[in-house]
Amino acid sequence: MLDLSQMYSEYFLEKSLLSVMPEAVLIIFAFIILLLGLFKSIKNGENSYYIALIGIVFSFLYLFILSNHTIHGFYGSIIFDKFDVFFFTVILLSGFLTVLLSKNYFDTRNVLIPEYYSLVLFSISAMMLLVSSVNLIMIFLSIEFMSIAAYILTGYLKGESRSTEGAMKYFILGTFASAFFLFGSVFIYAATGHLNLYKIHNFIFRQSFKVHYVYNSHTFLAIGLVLLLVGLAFKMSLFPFHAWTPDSYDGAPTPVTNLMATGIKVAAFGIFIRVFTSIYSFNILNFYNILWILAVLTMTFGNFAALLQTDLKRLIAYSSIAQAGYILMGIIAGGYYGISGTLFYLLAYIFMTAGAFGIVIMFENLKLASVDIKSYYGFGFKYPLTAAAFSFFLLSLAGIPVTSGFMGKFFVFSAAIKSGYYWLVFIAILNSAFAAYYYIKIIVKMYMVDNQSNNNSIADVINNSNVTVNNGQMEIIKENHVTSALVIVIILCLIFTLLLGVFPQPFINFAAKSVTSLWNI
Amino acid sequence: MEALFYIFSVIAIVSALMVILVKNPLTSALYIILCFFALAGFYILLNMQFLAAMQIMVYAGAIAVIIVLVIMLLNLAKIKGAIKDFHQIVISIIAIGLLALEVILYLNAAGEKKPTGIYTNAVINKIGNTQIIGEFLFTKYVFPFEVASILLLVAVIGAYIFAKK
Amino acid sequence: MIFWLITTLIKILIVFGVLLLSAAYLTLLERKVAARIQNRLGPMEAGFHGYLQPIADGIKLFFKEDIIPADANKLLFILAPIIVVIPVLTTFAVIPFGAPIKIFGHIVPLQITNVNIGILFVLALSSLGIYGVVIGGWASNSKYSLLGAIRTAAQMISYELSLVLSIIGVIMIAGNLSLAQIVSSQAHMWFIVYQPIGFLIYLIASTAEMNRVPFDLGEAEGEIVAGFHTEYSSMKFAFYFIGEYGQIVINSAIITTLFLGGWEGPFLPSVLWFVIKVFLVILIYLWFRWTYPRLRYDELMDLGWKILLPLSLANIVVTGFIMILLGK
Repeated sequence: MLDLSQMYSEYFLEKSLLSVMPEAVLIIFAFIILLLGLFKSIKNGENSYYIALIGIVFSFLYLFILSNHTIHGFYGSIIFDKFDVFFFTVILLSGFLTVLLSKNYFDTRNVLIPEYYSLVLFSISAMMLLVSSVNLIMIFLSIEFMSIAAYILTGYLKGESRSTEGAMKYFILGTFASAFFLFGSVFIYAATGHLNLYKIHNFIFRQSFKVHYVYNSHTFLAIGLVLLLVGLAFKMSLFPFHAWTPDSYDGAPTPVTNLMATGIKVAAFGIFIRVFTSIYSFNILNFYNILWILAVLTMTFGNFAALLQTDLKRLIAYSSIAQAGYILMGIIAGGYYGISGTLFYLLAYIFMTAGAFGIVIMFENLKLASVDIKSYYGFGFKYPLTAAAFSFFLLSLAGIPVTSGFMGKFFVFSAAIKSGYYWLVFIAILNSAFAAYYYIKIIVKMYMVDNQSNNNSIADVINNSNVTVNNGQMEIIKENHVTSALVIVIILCLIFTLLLGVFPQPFINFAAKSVTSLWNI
Repeated sequence: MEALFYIFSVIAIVSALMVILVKNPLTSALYIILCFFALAGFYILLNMQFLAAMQIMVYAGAIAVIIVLVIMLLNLAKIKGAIKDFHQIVISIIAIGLLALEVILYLNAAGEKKPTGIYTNAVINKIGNTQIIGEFLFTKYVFPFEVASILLLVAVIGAYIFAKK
Repeated sequence: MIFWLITTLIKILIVFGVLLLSAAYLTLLERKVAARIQNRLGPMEAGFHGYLQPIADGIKLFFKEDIIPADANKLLFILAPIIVVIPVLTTFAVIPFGAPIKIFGHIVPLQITNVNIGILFVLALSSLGIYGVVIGGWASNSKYSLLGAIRTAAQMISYELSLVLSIIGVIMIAGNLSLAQIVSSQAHMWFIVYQPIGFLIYLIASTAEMNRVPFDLGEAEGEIVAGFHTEYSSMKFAFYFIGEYGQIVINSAIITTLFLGGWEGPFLPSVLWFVIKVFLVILIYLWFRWTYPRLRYDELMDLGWKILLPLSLANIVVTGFIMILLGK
């Protein structure tokens, strides 16, 4: 038998477990929700909803306790550092908002509720694992873990063909992306002989001084890095790899769309930043130029496509593609300033997106309007508060001052200018001006009384309500009314969107502090 | 050994191609099993008998059986004239070109590579590769191992959700 | 090297011949056992007490017309019986059937090859037997065949899990995957003593894996004619038979090796011990067949998934705990 005791200390489990405590708590709570199914008397959606919330709060608690530590866990599989603290916060917030949004949405639909919440917890923990992985195997496993949970959640509305279609497209393309990622990892392993990101970093760093070896290892490495980039770009839904995004965002249940647009995207950017700063930053291929092109294509395509949409969920899906382009700018700008700007943008992004989706769910649940933009005529007068909140989120997505979206763009663009990417910033500013058009278009529609269609839609609403009242289904409409959870989400998002826009300093400090740990290899 | 490698490669590539070229779904499922066998052959050449046995047991013996069973249950007939699209042909040509380029680059760059690390063939033969895999799985890679188990659990939950009426 | 080659070839030929012969004579044994259980005499005409019956059957099958249904998928139809037989014949390559002997100063192990993952090799091959059944049933293009094939496939998938898991206990105690090592670690005590539950699970699951009677839903003659081999005739039919009876021999040999100490035993030569033990296990299988009625389909699935699978998992956990407690 082999004596491994010299290589591995005996108590490595005890030490390492601390590094995954926040994820482990979530997984334990997900199991608790699943196990509740054994007891028929307490198996209902209500209980699992509260347990999921408690789980996320506990995870926050552990995150808070551990937030000052840097722990290397499981022999170079996992690291827990300041960077993780920031991303865990963002992902947990996104998960928390998603769970809050879910209750109202799923109460009226006939689906398996407890399994839904456990899957949400599983996917949140997978996102967190993804961000804290520093080993190519772990990254691949976490991506798969996160994606499988997301495929299932996307197809959760079983009767609806759009949901199934979205899940199917997401699944097939996602599998391709995973294959690309895996191929990339294989090439990188072949070139460097390491799976750990930091060891790969050190290897490339050392190799860059040796001239005779460079060609051989560089070809492998370049192929590997390109393939890896493809795999990750898919999850970030950058331009040529975005094709799944509109369909699965549109087909998925709206809370799940929120989770995909915020949590998964944030996690994908998190791991991309980690991978990019550690192994892409050498002069192998000029990856900064590749990303430059990707960013420009992504934002331009996203904005143009969003312009043509009449369906609100699809519009937000395309706009989220465009947002990914802006976020990518921070990474291109690089350095301390650029990355902390990116982090700030991500934080701002989850609040405005979650808020917008909250209002979409509100509209959907009141059965007052479909997700078709045309049906929003005159909402500004009928529901002044909701419409105001919605307008605020849309303005934030467009990047109008006083909102968090503006500050996010400001930080990212100024970082890019600092790094000398003038053309990129120019294109980005043109793009955001362009994007503002279709955001503001919705707001205008809400506050504009178009006589003909307005009458129609109002008449429709009245007719519908009459029909329902006549059928004695008044109760159902009452049930469909907005729960406090949804209001909490919208208020929370409003507050944070405003706060991030007006007092960005504490948040950017938080982001900046967390970025420092990236370079403490 | 070198000759065996090329034989297995040819079998693997040809069977993989046949999987997508054959019109009858069941035949293509059988080719995928052949492909699994060829891969198991690679593992044996690499002195990884454990992985080879697992490859056959898990992939050929379990996963492919399910594929065959599903094909039989759905009673899939021959695929009649797949729709060919100019769009697809262009993309596939680009993809093939890129992959060919990659292969050429790879072959150009391929140099003699010696196995690095402490596990040389002699050590593996002495200890037995099953033991080495076991020890690594439960020490260095214990965390990915556990994450994989949760991943599979989530997949099972998904199957349950989609299968339930 | 040459000596090794010659001995290996001889071993292969002997094993091959004995396996085929015993598969043929098992048909006679089965009929005789069935007759005794039902208070009859069984075949008595061909030779003394019917001892030439298998040969007569073989000649009959060989000269029968070979029918391939018009709508069958010809290639797969011919391939299927071959796929049934090959894994069965190959499995015996790793089973040790006697203590190493000395010939001309060389030590020759009585085992065709000692693979260091022997038990996994056996399991991997046994998991392939299903293809012969499934492909044969599908290629026949007959509804009875297809029904039989689907039933069999579902059944084999369900029972293969418990089959594999029941062996894990043995592997844990032996600490090795090589069958020769497993046999030699049973020199003092047979593993059936440590693993009675594992033994029982393996016995039941392997019966199901072979589609023998309490679990023969794949060929239930009262319901679906003859299941997956309805359309087969002549030598192809004979191949299915060889496969089926060969599997009985193989499974008995595996049980002997894993649980009953393999060739270990006092006084008698080791090969004889092995043959005696295998013969006894074969008798158990035959006894099963002629005593128990066929299970209903839902009972079959319940037994597999709700009883055998949890039991075999529990067996692994308990074995592990006891091993830690005893400090092994």
